[in-house]
Amino acid sequence: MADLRTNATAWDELLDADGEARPAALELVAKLRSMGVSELQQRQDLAELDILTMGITFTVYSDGRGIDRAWPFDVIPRVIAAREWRKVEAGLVQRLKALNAFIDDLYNDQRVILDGVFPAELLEESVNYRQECRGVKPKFGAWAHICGSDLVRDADGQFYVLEDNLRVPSGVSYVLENRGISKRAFADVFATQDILPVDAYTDELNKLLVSLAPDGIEYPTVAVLTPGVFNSAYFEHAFLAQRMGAVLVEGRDLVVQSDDCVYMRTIGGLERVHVIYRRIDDVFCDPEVFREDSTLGVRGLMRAWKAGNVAIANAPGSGVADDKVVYAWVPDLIRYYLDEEPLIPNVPTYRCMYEDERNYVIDHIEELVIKPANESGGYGILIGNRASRQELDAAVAAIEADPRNWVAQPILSLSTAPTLCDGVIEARHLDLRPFILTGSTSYVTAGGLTRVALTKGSLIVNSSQGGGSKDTWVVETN
Amino acid sequence: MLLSRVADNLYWGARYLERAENTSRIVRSYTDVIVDLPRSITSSWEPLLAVVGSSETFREMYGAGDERSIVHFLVAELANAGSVASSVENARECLRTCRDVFPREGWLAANDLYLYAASHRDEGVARRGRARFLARIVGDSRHLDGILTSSMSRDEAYEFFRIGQMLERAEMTTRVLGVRASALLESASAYASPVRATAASAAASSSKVSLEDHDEVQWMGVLRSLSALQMYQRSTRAAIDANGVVRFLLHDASFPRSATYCLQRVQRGLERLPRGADTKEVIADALDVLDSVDPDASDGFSLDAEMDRLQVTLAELHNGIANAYFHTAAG
Repeated sequence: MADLRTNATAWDELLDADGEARPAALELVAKLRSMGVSELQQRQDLAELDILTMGITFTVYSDGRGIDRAWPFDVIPRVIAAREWRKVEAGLVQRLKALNAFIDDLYNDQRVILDGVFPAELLEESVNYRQECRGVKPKFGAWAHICGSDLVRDADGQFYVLEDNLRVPSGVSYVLENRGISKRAFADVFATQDILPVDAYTDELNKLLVSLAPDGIEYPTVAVLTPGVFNSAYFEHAFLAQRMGAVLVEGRDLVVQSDDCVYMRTIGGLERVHVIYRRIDDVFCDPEVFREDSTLGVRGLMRAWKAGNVAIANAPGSGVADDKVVYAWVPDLIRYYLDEEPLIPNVPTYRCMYEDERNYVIDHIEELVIKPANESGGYGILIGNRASRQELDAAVAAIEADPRNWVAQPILSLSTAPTLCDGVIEARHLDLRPFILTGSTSYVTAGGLTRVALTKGSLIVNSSQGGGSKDTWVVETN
Repeated sequence: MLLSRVADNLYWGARYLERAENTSRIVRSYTDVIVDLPRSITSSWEPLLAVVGSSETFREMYGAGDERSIVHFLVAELANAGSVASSVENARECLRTCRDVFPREGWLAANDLYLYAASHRDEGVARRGRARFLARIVGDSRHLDGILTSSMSRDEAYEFFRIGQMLERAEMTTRVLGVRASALLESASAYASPVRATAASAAASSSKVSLEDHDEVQWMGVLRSLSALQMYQRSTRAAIDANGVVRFLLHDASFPRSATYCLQRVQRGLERLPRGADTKEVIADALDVLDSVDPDASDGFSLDAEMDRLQVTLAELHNGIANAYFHTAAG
């Protein structure tokens, strides 16, 4: 009998405080308890073999060379009740709707600033605001068409949005592949309950991309623009192109002609491209407008986009809403644009630019996570209760020197789930990244990518730093 | 619709796969021939190096060549770009960038082949495990071919794969015959001038039986290394004869590994591509040259010279295709 243990201070996704299965996880937990660890290990080994033979990889850099690593996967799924998920889903759609209204507003009328809801000086300082996008009006008012929002569950069991990735969020291919693997590993459990499927994502994405094509194009050509085979998410780029029947292109395959249209270099000559799902950052998109040294982009792409001859998803400039300062305003933005209360809370965020919030941060610095406002990828983050006195003093000095550049949040205790680690089942921390699509309609993946920190006690879930993944089951209960 | 870059990678992916398969066949059948020869003949493994055209690279890396080092170099050596292991790895790298046009099952097969070759390559060196390893490479490559035959639309991507495969196959046929030519020259020079002969052939000529006496075994080995023995016998219904073998391998239009069959398939593939006019001439020229090749198979010099001529033609054909489709600089 497999022994499932929890971590006393965190919320566990499968078990309640007494070690009993949560209602949605009843069948899974019963199954896990009826099989020995050795049988579970067998299922884990088979899953890893599947991953290897299916070539499910991510790329890490070492000695300047990209190396393909097998995707790390834990066989024990994470379970969410469908009833709870529907609320989360509505909250995510609401959030992305407000963020798109905000982006569209910033590049056009800027009502949000005129009405005093968002401070003008923050926009001036934003490193992700692209002047070149002023006045552009993309179809459906949608700029950030594809969003990956990171959710965490605190000790009270409440989901919080930790951040919204609006630039080039990755990981969705693993949601689909993880499901394929877990269907084989737990075929018996799938047979006895309703687990919402995730396979429709690529079809929904394809419909969305096709709908963005310039008017009057009946059969648009959709391309996925990848930085190339050395990018850590290349597997995903190829996967999505393959599933959608789209063309997987690199910058060097594309050219913008004097008619301001985008073409790809095919064996039959140049062929027009109508929609580009870009998986490169917008500053690399077009050396004519942004970084001149970019070899990944396409000269003239911005011209073509502004002329309405090609759709780009996510639109250039969408990143303006993907920043830790804007994050703190999202609840206000939801109220301002939609006249609704946020359905999923933000993690409370203290903005050091305001004196009262700054004083609170300085007084409670041991209890907070301090984050620079404009860095991404976890750089410059200080966790108060794990820092030395010296580090804390340095942080206070930095905040006082440049208050606008800092925000702070309470230290959350990420929820856990039982995870198979070196032949033992132990609780490990995890988060969740659902993917949200928006154009004329919206779509949210059932569940999303559960990332798990495989090191005991660790909160770092990134696959490049020892993180793994789990399949996420959204289960219908009666 | 097919990107030039992807066409390039499909073409090379196919070439590398075919190269891995062919090198495996050749090493396997060469081993068989050597096993059949009386032990009194000291056999040389050097001619095998010429098959992949890498004698110089080998000497820089290994120095003198014995069976173990030569087979290791051809099968398992990752520093040798032409080895079975490297070819499989290169094929996978090429096909990895074609996944949007390549059947998923085909990619899985290519990946599986790579995983096997990468983890078992050293087992392919010693005689004990060699046959099994090489048979698996050939078998996996055939498996992949079958998947493409039965599940890939006959589109431009498919044609580029086939064109690469057939061009590589034709080239390998000329190389195998070229190796036979150099073996003939080697034994001829051993008779004419023992002083200049290599140790191996000198040993052969001084023993009672010579390689010459085993001419038939050697030509049989050539046919086997191209999986052509059975089809040759069915088509000629006669004893194995040097000129017959060469003519069969070069000119039999129905045998799928003959140079003629391969180039005719390349021609049909090119005709199905857009802008076929650009390559019409270069493939027609190649077929003309092939038609005119008619060496005296018992004469090493003649065979060697004709195979050289054919290889130059194949290289020109490759350049013609690459210029027409892979380097489109339009824009």
